[in-house]
Amino acid sequence: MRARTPTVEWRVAAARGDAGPHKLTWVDGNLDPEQRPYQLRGSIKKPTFRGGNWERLLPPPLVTEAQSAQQAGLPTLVEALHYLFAWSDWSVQSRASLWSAQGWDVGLLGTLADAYGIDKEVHQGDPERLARLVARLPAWFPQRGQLDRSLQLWSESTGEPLHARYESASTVGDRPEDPPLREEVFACRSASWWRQRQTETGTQLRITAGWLRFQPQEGQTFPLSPEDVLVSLEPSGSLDRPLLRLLSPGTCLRIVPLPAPESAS
Amino acid sequence: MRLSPPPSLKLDRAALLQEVRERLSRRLPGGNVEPDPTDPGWLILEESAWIAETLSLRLDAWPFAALRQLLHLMGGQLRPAHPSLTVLVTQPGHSGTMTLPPDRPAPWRFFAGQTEVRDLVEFCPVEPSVSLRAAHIENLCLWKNGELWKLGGPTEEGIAALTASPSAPERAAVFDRERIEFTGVSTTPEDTFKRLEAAVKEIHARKVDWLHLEPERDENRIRLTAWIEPDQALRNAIPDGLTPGGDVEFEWAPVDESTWVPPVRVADRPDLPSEWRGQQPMAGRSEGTLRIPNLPAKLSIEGLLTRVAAPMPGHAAEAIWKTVAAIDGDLSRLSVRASRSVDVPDGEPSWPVAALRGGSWNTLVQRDRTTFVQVRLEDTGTGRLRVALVLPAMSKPPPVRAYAIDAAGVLLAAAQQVESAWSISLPDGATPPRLELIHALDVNVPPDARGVVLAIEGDIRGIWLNSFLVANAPVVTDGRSVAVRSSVPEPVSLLFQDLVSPEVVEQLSGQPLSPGVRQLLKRLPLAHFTLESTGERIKDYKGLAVDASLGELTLNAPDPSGELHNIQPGDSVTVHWYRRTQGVIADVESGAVAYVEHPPRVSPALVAVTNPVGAFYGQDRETEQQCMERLFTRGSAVPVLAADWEHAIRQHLGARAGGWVVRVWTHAERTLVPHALWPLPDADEDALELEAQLQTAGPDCILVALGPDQALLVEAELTWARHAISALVQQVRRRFPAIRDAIVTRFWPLTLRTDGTVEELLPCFDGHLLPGMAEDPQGREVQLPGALLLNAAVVQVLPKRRQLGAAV
Repeated sequence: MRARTPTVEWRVAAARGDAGPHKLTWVDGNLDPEQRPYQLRGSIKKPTFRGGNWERLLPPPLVTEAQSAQQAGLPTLVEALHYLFAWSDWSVQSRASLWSAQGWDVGLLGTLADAYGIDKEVHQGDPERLARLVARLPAWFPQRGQLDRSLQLWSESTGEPLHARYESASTVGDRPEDPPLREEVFACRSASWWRQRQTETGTQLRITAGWLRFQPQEGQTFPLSPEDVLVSLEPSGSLDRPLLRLLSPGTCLRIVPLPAPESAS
Repeated sequence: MRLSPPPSLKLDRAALLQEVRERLSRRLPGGNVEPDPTDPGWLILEESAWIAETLSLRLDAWPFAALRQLLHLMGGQLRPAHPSLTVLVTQPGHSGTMTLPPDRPAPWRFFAGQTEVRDLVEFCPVEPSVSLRAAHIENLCLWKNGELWKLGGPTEEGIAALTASPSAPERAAVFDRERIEFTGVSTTPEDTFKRLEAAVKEIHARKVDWLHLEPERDENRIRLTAWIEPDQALRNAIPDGLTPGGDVEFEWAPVDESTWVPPVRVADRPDLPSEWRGQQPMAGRSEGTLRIPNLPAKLSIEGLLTRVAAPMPGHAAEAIWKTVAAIDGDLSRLSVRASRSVDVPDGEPSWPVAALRGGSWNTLVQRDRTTFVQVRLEDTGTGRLRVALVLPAMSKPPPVRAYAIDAAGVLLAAAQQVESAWSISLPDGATPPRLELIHALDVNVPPDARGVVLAIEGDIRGIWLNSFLVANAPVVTDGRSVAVRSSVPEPVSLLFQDLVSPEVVEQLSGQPLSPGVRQLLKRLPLAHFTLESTGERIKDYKGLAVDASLGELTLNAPDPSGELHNIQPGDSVTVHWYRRTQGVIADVESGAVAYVEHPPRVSPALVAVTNPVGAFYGQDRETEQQCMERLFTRGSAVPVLAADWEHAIRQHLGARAGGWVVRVWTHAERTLVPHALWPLPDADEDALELEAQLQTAGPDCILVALGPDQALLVEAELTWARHAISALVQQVRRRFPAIRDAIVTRFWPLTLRTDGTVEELLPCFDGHLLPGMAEDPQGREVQLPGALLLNAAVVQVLPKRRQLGAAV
């Protein structure tokens, strides 16, 4: 316990909701004028926090009397003051980290994430997600909108697996074989848009496995442009809508449904 | 999306004390006993709990106080209030030019009266010079597909006669008494007259039953008067005057020298079959006949046919005499003069006659669809006529031609010069109001003109005369002399807050205004001071610092452009006048401005004034909270994410959109995620239009849903937001061409009725996260669909309504 920093531990406990203003079990009310202020006590599982040293400000005979009474198992006024001022005391003590990833006020972290353009769909008001997000925002912000950066931010901050595979031309090339671009679904652009980018083979509309496809079965396919995102969708998969909020509004999702895995029989 | 502010961290001293008491009282001798309220220890604890509560309140305010301090250090400034704008229509006592003096306040002041909810609101003219004419609108007409229709006109006199809106089209009867007269002088009048009578009989025998010809003789002068009489053809076909039942066929052949026959319609009479009312008759079985099928029996044929409101073409009129002359060769030797006369019935427009007299009719009606406005000038003199067209918002002003009518009642064929002055979108008088585009024009009028006819190539919603732009920027006449004591910056408190400074004008120019209006605002004189020692004039705060929100002028401090007017100690500055504004309170409704004030002997003297449209664009000074929301963000010149766009739009819309929900949908979300559009289950017209727009919008187009979170956005505000967002997209497009367009739609705030607990952060657009009945501001209650709501979101959750007597 001595290796831990009391203010950091208190911030963590407060962000978790274990050091709130009303449930005062986390307050160490033991009277000891010789103790240094803002100390961490108890065990790792159940830490208690001792705030400012009120006893030092009081006349010594009064403190000695209060200490004796406490040792005798009686409540004292000085101990009560510890409880009353504990939360305010620790809030002031840890104010330096209020607007940071280590901040203990979830509402303020949400405001900070909002200022960086992170939607609530992504952080969902979850303190841990917010803390992880806010720590990564300065590095992510200059490259926001890029797929690889967005995927990295998503996986590191939410820890949630994605329901589809997202790739871009920079990682799989502009005419990937895996997933097969030829099986792309006619979803993101209008027919006239594709017509204007007519390749030598042109679009070939056909329905296979319940999907309308447009890429030619032979010859050159319509390539991925740098700002396109190739989505490989398993039969049971779905789009991860919150992730879309981390991409540019003009991003074009090129969807390739993957075939169902063959059964063991 | 904007998050709600963090919940308050303020402690509750009663709850805190209760917690402390419980912890301590367990250890009291005798167990849990009620504390003695007279115990000084408890009293001290209560005092301490109060101190802890107060301290927590301070702590709660601390993060935003720190943020405010930070923004203050970074030079963050509150945006000042800016004035609202509107258009007034005025009735001058006599024609004249309203010219604003450059260094004195304008003598004309316009007021909207005080009401229970607002103070007196003053407007001042913005345009440096406007020509006002004593004139009124006579009528509006529509030329459509070769036919003239009446669109009404002003129904009252006075200032009401300076504004007019088109009513339902009504057939014009102006040409019903059109006559063509052929007059000649004969040396053998008796013989010529007999030949003429014989030729007329011959023409009638050729199935030209629509043409009435009347030969006359006046000594040696021979006259043939021709006019179109549709009933004559029917009378010839049905001599007893009552329809026999079934088809009616009648002669309708052209004269020999022409192929023209007068177009006619079946009268719009209630006793006629509805399918034939107002329709053109069918071609008959044989050439030169017309037919009206299935007419009931015993109908009077009088007035059964009405002439299409268009004059007889010149070539058709000439063909009448040519036919007469062809029948009898001797008549061809008679030299005749053809003249046209139209006896205008009461309530019919007179300008077509003036145009026919001037030979300019064909010039006027060269387009398929033209709206005509006839204006009568009440006095003569130089000066242009100011006209404002009322058009749908976001429309393109139509081309306008203008023709003068002289003292002889002849419409001059040469078109007069028409110049565009400015355009502005303002809310109309409807409930709820919608924006209309007001497009002002200056029409050149010859000095002796008695009237003007405007030919507008398209439809209009209205037309106003003597309309000019005003702003809620009344002049404050100060008159104080401020002595400068030292060369350090010296603040001077002016008499009002919310001044109109160049910065305010710049901010107002950021609104979706036309370049013409922006130019006028830039030229508006804002303030006038004089340096006493040299008499040097200081105009528009040049070289002085001014805090428009605070109403504070700082001498010997540079203006925002860095220019400094150095005033030596001991010198004095006379503060003559400056302008102030009342912000959003001056966004008065249409018709509110009804009072004009000016000194006697001012020319032109104004008799009455009104504002046919409401005032708009006024904005209060920014609150500190709004300023923090605006400035506390990661700086970025280009919006990349949807959230960046939301922020950029909120900033661009400013305080008027304060508290609105602004949601930007990406192309992927709106095309690949199942979505729904409110209202449900039956989409309204707006939702259907939005759905159609979304079907064709590509990835380069964002969808923006916006509006207040407690009510529906009114049409005028929505149109204004569309204007503003369109301008923003165009501006961003120059640097970031990935987004080229925006569809802007109204946001529907929904209330979820449920007895369960809701953990989702609000507003929530995802229907499948919040199952239950949702209610919109119009009281519609619908089960939320399991889809993404693009134009609606749950903004509050309330318990289900209990039906009366359900508990029983």
